[in-house]
Parts: sequence; structure tokens; C-alpha cells
Amino acid sequence: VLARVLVANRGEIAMRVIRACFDEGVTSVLAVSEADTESLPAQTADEVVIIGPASAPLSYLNLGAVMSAALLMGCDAIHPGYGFLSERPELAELCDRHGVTFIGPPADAIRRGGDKIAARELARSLGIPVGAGSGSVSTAAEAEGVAAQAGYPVLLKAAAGGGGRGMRKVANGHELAGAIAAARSEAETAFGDGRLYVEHYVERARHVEVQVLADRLGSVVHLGDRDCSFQRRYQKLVEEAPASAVPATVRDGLTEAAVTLMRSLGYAGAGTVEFLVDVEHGTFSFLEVNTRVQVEHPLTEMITGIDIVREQLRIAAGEPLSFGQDDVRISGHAFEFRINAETPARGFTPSPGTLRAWTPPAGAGVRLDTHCFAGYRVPPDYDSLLAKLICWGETRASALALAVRALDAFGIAGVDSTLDLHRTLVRHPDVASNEITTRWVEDSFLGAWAADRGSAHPAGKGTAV
Amino acid sequence: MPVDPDHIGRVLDAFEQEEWDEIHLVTADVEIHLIAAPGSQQEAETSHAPPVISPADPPPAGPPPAASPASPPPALAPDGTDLSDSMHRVVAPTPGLFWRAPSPGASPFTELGERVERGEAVCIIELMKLMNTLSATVTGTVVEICARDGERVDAGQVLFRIRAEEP
Repeated sequence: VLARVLVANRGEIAMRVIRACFDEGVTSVLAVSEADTESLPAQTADEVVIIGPASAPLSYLNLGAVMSAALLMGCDAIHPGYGFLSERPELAELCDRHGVTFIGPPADAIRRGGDKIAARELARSLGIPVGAGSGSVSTAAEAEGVAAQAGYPVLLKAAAGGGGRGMRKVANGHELAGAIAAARSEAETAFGDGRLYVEHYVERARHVEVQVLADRLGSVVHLGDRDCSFQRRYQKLVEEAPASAVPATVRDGLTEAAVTLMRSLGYAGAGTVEFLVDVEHGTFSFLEVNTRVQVEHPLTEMITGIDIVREQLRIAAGEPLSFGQDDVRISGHAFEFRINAETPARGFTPSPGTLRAWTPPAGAGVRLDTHCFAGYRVPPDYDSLLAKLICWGETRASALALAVRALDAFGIAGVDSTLDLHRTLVRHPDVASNEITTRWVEDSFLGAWAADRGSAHPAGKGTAV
Repeated sequence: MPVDPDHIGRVLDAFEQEEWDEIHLVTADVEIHLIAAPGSQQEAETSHAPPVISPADPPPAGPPPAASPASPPPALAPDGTDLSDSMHRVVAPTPGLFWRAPSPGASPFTELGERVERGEAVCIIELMKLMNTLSATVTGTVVEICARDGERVDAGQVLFRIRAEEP
């Protein structure tokens, strides 16, 4: 049993982990930067240690600062949340060397699962479909050969990728060389690893992922799927679970593939396997493994009743899963809306500042995961996620109806946010009829939304690298 | 909970063993600031500087002095007094962090006195994890770099002065 957990993250996920520690009777010790000493998680955690300046590389991304904070505070475990150090095998290894439990999979599983090219090879070897495409490509000529074989359009992706960085859609051979150069430099900048691979681009696709929990005794179960097709520039805006628009036979294939893959990785803890579902052909292909708890994990908690973060703590303590696959029951439907401090009408530029008003909705089936409060100053140093609004109903239609009311009741002032965009989105007929693909937000929704508002096209030139 | 002296010992051991450069931790009870001696990374572990451990009273109100100069830092040497029409400025469009290189450790986009082409990238402004690359608005010579790498800048702050070439 764990006694003291260092929470090595900030924002809403820090709140989430602190809450799980409370529920498990574990002392939470929060590692904060100097920018976050007054944050809600800093006020909520049992103890706080300042690990460095606001700049993330010197604090939340600083392996030594996080590790030494755990040692100083006498913590027996570190929960890395998502982002920051959560998928760095070096942290898991540091923990091993210093007798601290890393709340996540073994370093080797992070390494093999996190390298996209290696993970594709593993999936292929297990008989799991992977998209037409390549291993690592190093030259434009090599990429041209692979692309011609896979068929245009193709997607260039970074081996170390995530968050859409180092990703480029290429329509034809003429664009390939330029796109490779741009994607490589982006990947170098973001991940320090410029390796790329090529995949056939599926025009009408859904992004579906499977939540997995595995204990350290070899038991691996899945908690069903989530549909994350509402995306802008490969960033998720809205997610829902279960992935009810996908045929049951396909979904069965996904969950089985996910469990097979995680078992083969020697996985332990909470993890997600992402797939692309080809809507026209009813087929799926493996995309990647996320070796951490995900932003959208509350959806699965709402439809299964299983507390994923508490399970993470128990698994890390060496306890067996308290349930088997047959005990997992999917009940109802849930949506999650990412409320970001951004100005959608200006290309989703970040909008830090002080929250003059913060009046979230409340009600049966409404859950809000957030670190915000009225008067909170949203710092310019970190990502723009303010809150995740989760709405659960017995059916998809009732969850959506609840979402309309909850979004309308939500009041935010002082910073711009994506709230208004969500209000329009949930009223769209394509959403009610569930005819969504990964292109829908950018191709069918944002343009019309912007026109209605008389503003510039929000899908226009963004500044993300 | 007061910090256990044994825990401080574990931090010191880890600092030596892992060859970290600098650790600065502040709790309700103690402040620990460890800095590796210059050039110690390849040398013996014992070359680490002696630790500075002090009671934390009062807790630090803000970032340490090294991280936040009270007044704007001296910009890299301005070239001169030429403020004529040929002078162009690159201005921060949003607040954020000013980065002179495309990635940590990479060489800067441009240096003082160098020639830049119109449209050439000169710096990055980082705001909430978004990297916004700024370009030269004119072809000419960089005559002043008005912010330090990594400095927090405000919207509208001048970052570069570029003297345009004769058309």
C-alpha cells in the first residue's frame, strides 16, 4: 500500500490525482513550479514542494527536480499525470534506481509502446492491422516509393510524435519533399527526434481508442472504447464513449487487439491503444499506444463506474485488479468537452488571463474536472485546458441534451474560451445523427460557425508548430 | 510534516549519483539549493559544491533573482543611433517567452550584425505551449536584439531592429 504520493503535474489532472489519493487514504504531495504556488491543487494537496521556476523545462519537465522532490518529501511513489514527464522512460528508471514506485508501466513498456515505428512493428507481428505504409523513412526518394505504394494522400508522422506535431498530410508526390522537410524539423524541435514514417491517409475515418488496465500480476482487461473524432489540427476537442457509431464487430476487434498488444508489451497500469476506423470499408488499423492516463479517461469512468486513477494507485502498490473482464459493464453514454482558454475566432490563439467569473454547471450526470475558480490567474506558461465538462446520460441522445443545458449554464468571464464553440457544436444535426469523421470539425463545422459569427475563418492559419 | 534529515541525505546522494546540474527545492520547512561545481559533470562526484540548506523563513515570495531580473536586461549592444525610415522593428504579437533558436541547444535563427531576408524566421514566441515563429518584415541587417533568450516579453514589445537594405 502506498503512503505518500508525489503528484508531478499541474492543472486539472493534478486535482484528479489528489482526489484519488484522498479516496485511497494516501497523502498527496504536490510538486509545483513558482507559477503555481497559489493554484487550486496547491491549496488542496496535503503537502506542497516547489521544484523550480515557471518555465516547464526547469520544473515540471526537470527529471532531477521531480525525483529529488520525491526523495526529500519521503514519497514512496510518483504519479506523473499526462504530458510533461508521463511518457519518459527515464523517470521510470530513475524511480527504480532510487527505490520509488513509478505510477505507470515499466520503462521498457513505455519505450517500446511510445516509439510509434516500433509499436507498429509489434502490432504487425501480432497480426493486428496497421495502416498501409512504412517503417522509418530517411530520404524523400524512399518516402516517395512508400507513398506511391500506400497510395496518396498520405500522412507523414513523427516516430516520437504526439499532439499532431511533426504530422503532415500530403496530397501528391510534388508536395512530398517539402512536407518531409517541414515535418522533420517540427519533429526535431518538439521531440528531439526527426524520424518520420508514412501512412496511407484514410479520408473518412473515426479515431477510436480502447482503455486498458493491467495489474503487475499479468491480468489485462479493457474498459471499452471512446470515440475521439472531433479534432482540430489533430487535437481532440470533444470525445464520447462508447464509440457507438462503429459496428459492433469492428469494436470487438479493437478491444481484442488492444488487450493482445498491451499483454505483449508487459504493460502495467492504465494505458490506451488508439486506432483509426475506416468508415467506408468498416476496417480498422492500429495508430499508437499512450502509456499514461489520458485526458479523456473520465468518459470511461462515467460509463463503467470504475475509477481509473484509483486503480492506477492500487496497481502501483502491487495489488491485483479487483475485477475481471466479465465484471466490466458499459452503462449509458458520455460526452467530454475540453474548455480551453483560447480564442477560436482568432485561429484558437491562447488567451491567458484572470478569470473574473467562473460559474460551472451542476446536476445529475454532470461532472467537471478542473483546477479553475473565480479570480484564478491562468498562467501563460502552460497549456490552455481550463476544464473538462463531462455529461452522462442513459442514452446518447439524453447525454447530448444534458450537454446542451450544461454548456449553456456554464459562465466564464475574463478569458476567451471554447465554450461558445461547444454550444454550437452540440446543436449541430450531424452530431445528433452521429455522422462525424476526423475531418468534420475542420471541413464541415468551423467554417460555417465562423461565418455565422461574421469572423475570420478559425481553421485558418494557426500558430501551432 | 517536518523534513526528515535522512531524506535530505537521500537527495544529496541522488544529486551526486545522477550528476544533476542544479536542484532547488522549497518546502514549508526547508529550502535546499544544490549547484554542481563548474565542469563537474565529467569529473569526480566530490567536485559538487557543498549543499546550501537553510530554513525557509520566510518562504520565497517570487522566483529567484537569477530567473527574473527586476529591470529589463541590457539588450545585446545596439548598433547606433540610426532611427531613420530604414529601421524596421520585429514586435511580439502576443505576450510569451522569447526564443532565439528553433529548439533548445540549436543555434540561433540570427545574430547581431547578420543579414536577414524578408520572411526569414528570426525568433519564436512561446505562449501556452504554442510556438509562434516570427519572421523579418524586411531584408536587411540585424542591428539590435532587444530581448534575451528565454525572456518573458509583452505584446507590442520590440524584439529586433533591422536596418533595411537600400532598395
